[in-house]
Amino acid sequence: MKVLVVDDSVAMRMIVKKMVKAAGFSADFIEAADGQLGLDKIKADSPDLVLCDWNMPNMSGIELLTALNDEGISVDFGFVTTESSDEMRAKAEGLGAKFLISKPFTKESVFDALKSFF
Amino acid sequence: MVSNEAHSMSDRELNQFIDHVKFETGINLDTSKRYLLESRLSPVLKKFGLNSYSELLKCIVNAGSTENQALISAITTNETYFFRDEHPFDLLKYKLIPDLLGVDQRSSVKIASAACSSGQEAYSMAMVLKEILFDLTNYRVQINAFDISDEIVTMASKGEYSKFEVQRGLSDEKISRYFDCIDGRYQVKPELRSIISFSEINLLKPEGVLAKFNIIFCRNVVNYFEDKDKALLFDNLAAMLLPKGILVIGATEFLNNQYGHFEKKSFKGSVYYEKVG
Repeated sequence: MKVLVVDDSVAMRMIVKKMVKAAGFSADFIEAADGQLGLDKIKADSPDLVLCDWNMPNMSGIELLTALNDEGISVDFGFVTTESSDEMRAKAEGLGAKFLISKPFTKESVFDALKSFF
Repeated sequence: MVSNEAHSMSDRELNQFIDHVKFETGINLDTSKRYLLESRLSPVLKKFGLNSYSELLKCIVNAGSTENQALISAITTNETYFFRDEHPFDLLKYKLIPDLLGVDQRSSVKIASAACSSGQEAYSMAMVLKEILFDLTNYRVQINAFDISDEIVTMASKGEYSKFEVQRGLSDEKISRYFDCIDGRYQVKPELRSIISFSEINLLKPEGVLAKFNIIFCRNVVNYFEDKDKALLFDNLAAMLLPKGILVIGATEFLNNQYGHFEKKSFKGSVYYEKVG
């Protein structure tokens, strides 16, 4: 299982990786620091799952998801983000995101969001 | 009027101050520290309008006197600045906090800045937390900062600094993000101040510390103590840590692990100590 973590904070990428492990899943991780780099990694490395932040420089999470749709690239995609309004959830879902994990997350909330992918 | 003559300390006075400082703080000075004592206590004489060190010695017999508090502050205030030595804050950001919050972000995280002096270390920690977590109100993170001097603790708790002080260690971008500039002074923003509490604690007699910590920074402190007090200091720090809690000391300092409380670890060149058991 190859998981791409997209977040502009190195520390948060580490937290997200630990979060997946703490929820009981094992994965090979690759990382990207913004949406554009994430898009490049998705094309180059074909991850099975993308865990993506919402706000990032250069290309945001929602812009990355839009670009994937525009280019016809299919990958399981979910957000791990501080912001989690109903409007954002609807927007994410409308673009095909599979889940939105809001911070601060718990082991249980991560397990529930990810269990169907592992 | 204080004359220049008043600023010369006799050998007898020097030894009395050494004994007094040792008794009050545990800090072990010797006669080679005459210059340090003179340079730090001379402003105390001036502040209280005293004409000689012998007058100061009379005042400090009363441990609760303002003169004694001023003396403790003057001796224990270490030079510090924001993000001093940088590596410990990278350790906090990229290892210690991810380890704690990567498991459950709703868990409580308690961090101590021991011997916090004028507070820059504690506020730097808060800045690290803010950078990682974005909205601190969503998390159960707390920083407790201690110092032996109540004068320093009162000053540090205000979170107010001069332009010179904020420019030491902080970029312009960080200054504008984390400080409000009021009449030429820079005050740490309320969100950061809200997660820090300051209190007067003697690390050799830390009776007032009720909380247990996940992480303690106690840097540039150890070398002021003689060996038996070093062992007591680390024994007390171990008691203040939760199981598997982390102790970070200064890069040039050695841990006295006489009681076997700690296991040495490292992360990208930064050494830290994990409490055993």
